Amino acid sequence: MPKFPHPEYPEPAWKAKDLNVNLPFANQGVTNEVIKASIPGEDTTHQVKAWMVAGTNLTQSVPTENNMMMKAIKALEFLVVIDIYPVEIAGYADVVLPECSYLERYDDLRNSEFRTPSIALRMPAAEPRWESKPGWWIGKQIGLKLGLGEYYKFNDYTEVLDWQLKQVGTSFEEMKHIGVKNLPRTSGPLYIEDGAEHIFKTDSGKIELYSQKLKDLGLDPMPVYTAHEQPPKDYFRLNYGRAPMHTFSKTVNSPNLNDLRSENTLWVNPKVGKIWNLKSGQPVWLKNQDDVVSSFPIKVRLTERIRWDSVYMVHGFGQNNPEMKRSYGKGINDTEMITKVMVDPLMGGTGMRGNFVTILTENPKETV
Amino acid sequence: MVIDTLKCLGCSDCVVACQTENDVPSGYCRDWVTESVNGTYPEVAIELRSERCNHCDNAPCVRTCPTEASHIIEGGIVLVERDLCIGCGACIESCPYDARYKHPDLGIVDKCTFCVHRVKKGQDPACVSVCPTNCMYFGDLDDSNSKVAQLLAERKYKVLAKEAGTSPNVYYLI
Repeated sequence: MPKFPHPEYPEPAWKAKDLNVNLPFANQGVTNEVIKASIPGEDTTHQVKAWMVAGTNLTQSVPTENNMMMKAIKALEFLVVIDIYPVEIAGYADVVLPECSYLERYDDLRNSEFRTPSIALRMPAAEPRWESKPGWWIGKQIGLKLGLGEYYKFNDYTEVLDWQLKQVGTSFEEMKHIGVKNLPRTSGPLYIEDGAEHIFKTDSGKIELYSQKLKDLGLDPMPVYTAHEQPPKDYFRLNYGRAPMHTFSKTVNSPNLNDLRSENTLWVNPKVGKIWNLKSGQPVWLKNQDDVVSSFPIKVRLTERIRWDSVYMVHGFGQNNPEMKRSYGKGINDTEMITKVMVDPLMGGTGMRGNFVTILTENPKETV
Repeated sequence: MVIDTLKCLGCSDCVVACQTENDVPSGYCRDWVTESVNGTYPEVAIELRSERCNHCDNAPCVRTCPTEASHIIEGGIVLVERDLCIGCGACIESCPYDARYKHPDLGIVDKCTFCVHRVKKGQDPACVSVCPTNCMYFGDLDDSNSKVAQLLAERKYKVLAKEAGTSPNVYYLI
């Protein structure tokens, strides 16, 4: 999809990628490195002083070790949050820019390049409520205030969409009526044909099971099995996942979806339930390997769908801003219980399923 | 209606579609998703079912209704005539599928209509039309060429509460 014309962007002095320390294969910015670089005194190449957080409730979506998320948030000189809900991170912001939901705004075109290339117009179904604004409007207004008007040569985003659509042989007017348009495939076959010569993007041009690149950096050229830590006595591995109706943690406050599932449950194998004398529906609290205790209780669900050595909960619950009226305090926030983050030394990817929790049947806040 | 339990993810899109299409009051539903877990870990089988009124041929709700508000229309859909319903709830008690509820504002009994207002226009019921995995099929079982009839001819299926003898018309492929 051709980009709407604008003057060349100047080259930034440094990028998020430049914050990566000792991650030889990280070819883009790594969230945990940005968080680390926001805390004064940490070993970093550049100090990060401000965040602009768009549509991500960080305290509920990015687990960190040693409370680094909160340390970073407190150390920031300036925090802007753009969101459609008053999520917890908005409570820490210096400025909150309320965005309208995707059903109330034009967005970038959906451009699907795969089997059958197609474009789709994402258009509003309703007017924005109160003072909420589309993302493009927020971006443009900030640009204008910064004196960067030359980068925003449009009054309304539909002008950008119309220009782009005309480049690919349709128009805003046409797409408003048809919504989705399939385009002929011009980029060759979707799959590598049987028997065809194909050069992979590796040094040898072949699929590499043994990586010379890794060996040259003193790393294992082939994967070596590393045994993962097992839960200590009376602790369970904490697993988390999604419920199909709640694709994001923010959807837990949507009236219809909240009606379907308003809190998460702690999946416990019935055999474990018998030993621990737990009943389905019973509220419990969790404590993890670092003695972090959950802010809220969670109801037990005895089910054969979980292993004996693990417990499971759906991500996104345990909302911690009272303004999230339907979902505040319902269930446990998995991110809060994840205080050990395993980092892949090659590219900085994170693994969060090495945390262990034990079950508290009494409210720990009352016994203290 | 034929529902493929092997394709259902339990997303409950069918529930929200029905609620919005039919102005179902908040906290109530005409269709819902049931999860049944069989076996013990690690030999566990999970079945997800989108459930609703079974539009039975031998409908106990119709037999127990004192005012003939509950009735079967041509084609087999079971409906409640709102003007005749006195909200006595006998049909709710008699339904083996627990598919009916008393409307909190109107005081009458409400349930799935197979979106008869859409079906009359040749459209699928709302739940069928939104299903992201296309696990639901709606059609005429008396027509052997229909998709629903073909699926029942080819696939293994079951109905719910067969022992109740209601001759239900929602079939689950298993």
